[in-house]
Amino acid sequence: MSVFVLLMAFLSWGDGAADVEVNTVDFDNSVIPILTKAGCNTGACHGAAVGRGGFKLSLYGGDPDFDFRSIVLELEGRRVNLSRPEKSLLVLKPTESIEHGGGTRLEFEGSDADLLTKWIAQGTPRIQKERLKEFHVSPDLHVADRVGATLQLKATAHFTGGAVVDVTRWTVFTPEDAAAVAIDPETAAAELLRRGRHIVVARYLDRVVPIEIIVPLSDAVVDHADAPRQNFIDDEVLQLLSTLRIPVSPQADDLTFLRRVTLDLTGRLPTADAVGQFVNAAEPQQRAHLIDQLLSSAEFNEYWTLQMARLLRIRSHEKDRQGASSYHKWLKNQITNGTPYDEFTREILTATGDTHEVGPANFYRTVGGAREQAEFTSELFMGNRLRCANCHNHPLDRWTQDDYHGLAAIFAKLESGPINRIIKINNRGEVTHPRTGAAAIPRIPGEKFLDRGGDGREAFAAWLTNQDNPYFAKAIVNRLWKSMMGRGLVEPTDDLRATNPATHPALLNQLADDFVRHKYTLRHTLRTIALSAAYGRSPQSLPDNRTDNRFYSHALSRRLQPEVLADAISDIAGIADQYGDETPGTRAVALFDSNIESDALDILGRCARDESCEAADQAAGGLARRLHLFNGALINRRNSDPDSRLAKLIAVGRKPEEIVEEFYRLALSRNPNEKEQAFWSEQVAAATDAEQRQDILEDFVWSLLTCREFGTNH
Amino acid sequence: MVRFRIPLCCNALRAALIVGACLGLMPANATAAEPPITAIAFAPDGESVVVASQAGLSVHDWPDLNRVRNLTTTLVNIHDMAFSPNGDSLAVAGGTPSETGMVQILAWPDCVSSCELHGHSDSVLAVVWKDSSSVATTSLDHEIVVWDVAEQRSVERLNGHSRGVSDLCFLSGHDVWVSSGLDQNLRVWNSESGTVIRTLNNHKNEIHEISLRPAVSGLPMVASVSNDRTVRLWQPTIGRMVRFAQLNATPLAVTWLTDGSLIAVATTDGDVRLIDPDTVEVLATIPAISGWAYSIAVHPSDGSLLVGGRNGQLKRIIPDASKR
Repeated sequence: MSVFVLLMAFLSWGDGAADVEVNTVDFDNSVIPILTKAGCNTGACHGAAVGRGGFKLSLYGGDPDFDFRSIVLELEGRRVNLSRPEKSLLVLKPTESIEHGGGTRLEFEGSDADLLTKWIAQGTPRIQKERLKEFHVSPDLHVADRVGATLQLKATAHFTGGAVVDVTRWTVFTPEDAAAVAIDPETAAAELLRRGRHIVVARYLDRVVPIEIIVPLSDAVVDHADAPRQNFIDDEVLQLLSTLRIPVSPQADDLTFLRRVTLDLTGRLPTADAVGQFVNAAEPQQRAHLIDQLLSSAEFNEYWTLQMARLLRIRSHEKDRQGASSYHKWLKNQITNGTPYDEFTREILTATGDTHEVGPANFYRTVGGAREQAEFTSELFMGNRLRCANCHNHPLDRWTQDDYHGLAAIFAKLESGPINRIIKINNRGEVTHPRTGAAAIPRIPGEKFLDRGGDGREAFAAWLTNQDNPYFAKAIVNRLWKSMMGRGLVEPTDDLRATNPATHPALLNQLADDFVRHKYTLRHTLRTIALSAAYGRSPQSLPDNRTDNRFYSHALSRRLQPEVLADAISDIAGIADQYGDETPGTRAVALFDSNIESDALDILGRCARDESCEAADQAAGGLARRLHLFNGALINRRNSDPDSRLAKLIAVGRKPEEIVEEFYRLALSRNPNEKEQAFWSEQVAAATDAEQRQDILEDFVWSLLTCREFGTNH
Repeated sequence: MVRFRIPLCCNALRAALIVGACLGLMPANATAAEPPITAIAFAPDGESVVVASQAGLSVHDWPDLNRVRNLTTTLVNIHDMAFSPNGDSLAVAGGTPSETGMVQILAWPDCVSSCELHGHSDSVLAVVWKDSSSVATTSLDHEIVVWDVAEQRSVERLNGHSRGVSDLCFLSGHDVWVSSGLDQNLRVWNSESGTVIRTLNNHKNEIHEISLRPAVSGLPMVASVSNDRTVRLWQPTIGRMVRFAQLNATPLAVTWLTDGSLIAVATTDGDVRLIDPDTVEVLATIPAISGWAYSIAVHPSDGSLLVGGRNGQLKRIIPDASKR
């Protein structure tokens, strides 16, 4: 189809009104897409927060009102020349007829420049003949057979008047990885350059949709028909692995599974007795029984209180620890009692009162300011980053400035913030909408405005926890999945949006639906994940799945959280650590205050919870942690302590081989293999006296506590 | 033939209450494609008014606003006009956007071009006569230039604004320039040395225009209007912001009534607001035109206001004398 025919089709769809209206160029639907396609309104150009060269447009044309004002009205209309349209800056600059820092963006006298000129000649009318109703791309999922294959992308817009228009030419297709997919901006033909799963984002007007393109990782077909399946999780995971032609690793052995699931559900290493019993049980349902036993344990309550406390960022403020204590105590009760997550959330969102007594009211002491509260709340409970919509409509999502400042306006009706012990309603509270300069109207994001007066939190909480809410359940099941599997179906976990699709979209939907059907029970979803064959796979990769780090063909190895590692070291060494002025013997995972004094937790990279711990997890560890573990007092001091487990075992006359075996079982949940046993026997045998033998055994314990196998869950 | 439209100030009740008279006129050729009126200048004798837009310059009789002649100009965009103190010249300022800024001097009333002042690299936004032989211009190129008109050369360049300079006024008794900028600042300059005396930074957004209060006792007072929706009053010689009025529409243009008793502000909603400078109370909001009103001027003798803006609209307003 020629460009001319396309252009005419683009210009002429309408509702059959008068000719003059049909022929009038539609600013919203025709002019803005040209600027977007040409890249004029990107963040690197006039879409930047401060604009460029004194000319500012809304990012990707997200705010047509603003753009019209900027183009037509500002500076006495200097950017358009109504007397001599072809002399307008809007035409001269992008065609580089005069100097333009952005270079040539439109072809001189090309169809796009002509359309801009025509619109100016018509007097820069601001009409929107029809509103965009739906935007589709085809294909939205494509599996190619080889690298080098090409794919024609097509975009279609459905307008409110019924018009269906091919808008491929005005759609911007952006691959997430330009080295994997190359797209011709003129023809929208994609060439696939690399194997793997790739995402291309298509943008037209205010809509952005993802296109998923898969190029299998090998040429050989992989059949997973006989792979183990326990529930719907395995169906979805194996289906994608088959598409990608990635083989799966076998199931993990029982002891590996025991260690993994015990750490994931309780944050503790299995005891030596548990290791022995699990090896000897040999019953068909022993994994399921183990999971149920762990889920009903006190250790589960303690550990998952920590997990949720990290999400809620529970911490002391200034010298006030009482609020954090009360919050933590309330949270632990919810976990212990199995309070449904929706109920739990509603109680948090609608809480007010004395934070020393009303635990959930501390939610409103987490951050300072209504806008920060809106950001925190949306990231926590919706898995969405509304913060982008503070300054401009979200460029990659549906959120507008009205949504962001409207949600902030709900929280502005509270007296809150870290220094406020009492959380109470303040009906005069408001936030200023930066675009209008007026008080923002309280709003449920993406849904509806609320009355200006009164407390909007009830309405927000009711909407959020409604079973049809598209964000709430997904946000939490994605985090549960990440906790168990080492990677979220969507990463980052607080950035769920259409243009950052899940690796397994259907699986995320099923997990969310299943969570809602089972009354928002955290334990149910954790159990479902733990029972799946995908969770139970070996961490050992195969030659053809070694590079897989997101499709679950083998188990992913994860660093132990700082609190879990600190407790594990204490447990193995037999010497508890001291945390601030807490009762001696208090475990790190049981601490309610992330600010409590502890060198060990600082060394291990604990999250201070003044910001999201999900981001902190990515940065934790590293060289400093390794060096401290190797050389610092954290392990060495306790290793040589006369009350240590090792000292006691030596004192009661245990043989070195027995000591080695016991430590292996405690630290790694397995017996030493022959090579390891032989090595340590040889080392101990070389000792000439008891003191030297003790030194060697201390070295042995040190090596266990610093090895990668100990410091990870795998 | 002149075609009249129904007056835009059709809110009769409101108009009756707050406006003495409100005469709406739309030039015959005003259509949706008509360029906006961007500058207005009353002839010194008050018998006519010169109106500028991208369509060029036109002279209209007063008070009927009939177009009596079109004037030739080389400027693509016109942003300001000013008659010389002795009334024999009209300075027309503008340029070709993003390329050049210039001033054309027309002999009045012949309207013959007597000279052109070139030297800006972007449009000139304002022109001010310092005396009958020199003008100063402000431009989107961030510069203020003082010109010797007879010599047709620049005599001084004032640099300091970090973005375009939107307007300027000269405080003759104090020998200082006051300029306003898109950088949100007012700057006070020593006109002899060309150095900045002080910067006044209370505005929170771009400043569109400033206007010097006609001679009254006391320190000179300047009104400024900004995208931050405020009208601020300043005593530039001592660096004081006296007070401000917060509006519910963005002010684009400002002038004082001839006796300095009221400030008249044209806004993006097409209304004119009359503000008491002593209390910053908005005494009247007068519907004038539809859409953005870019320019406003006060008649030298009869006290009328003329407002111009979108779609070539022009509107005469007679403020209620009781509001003074």
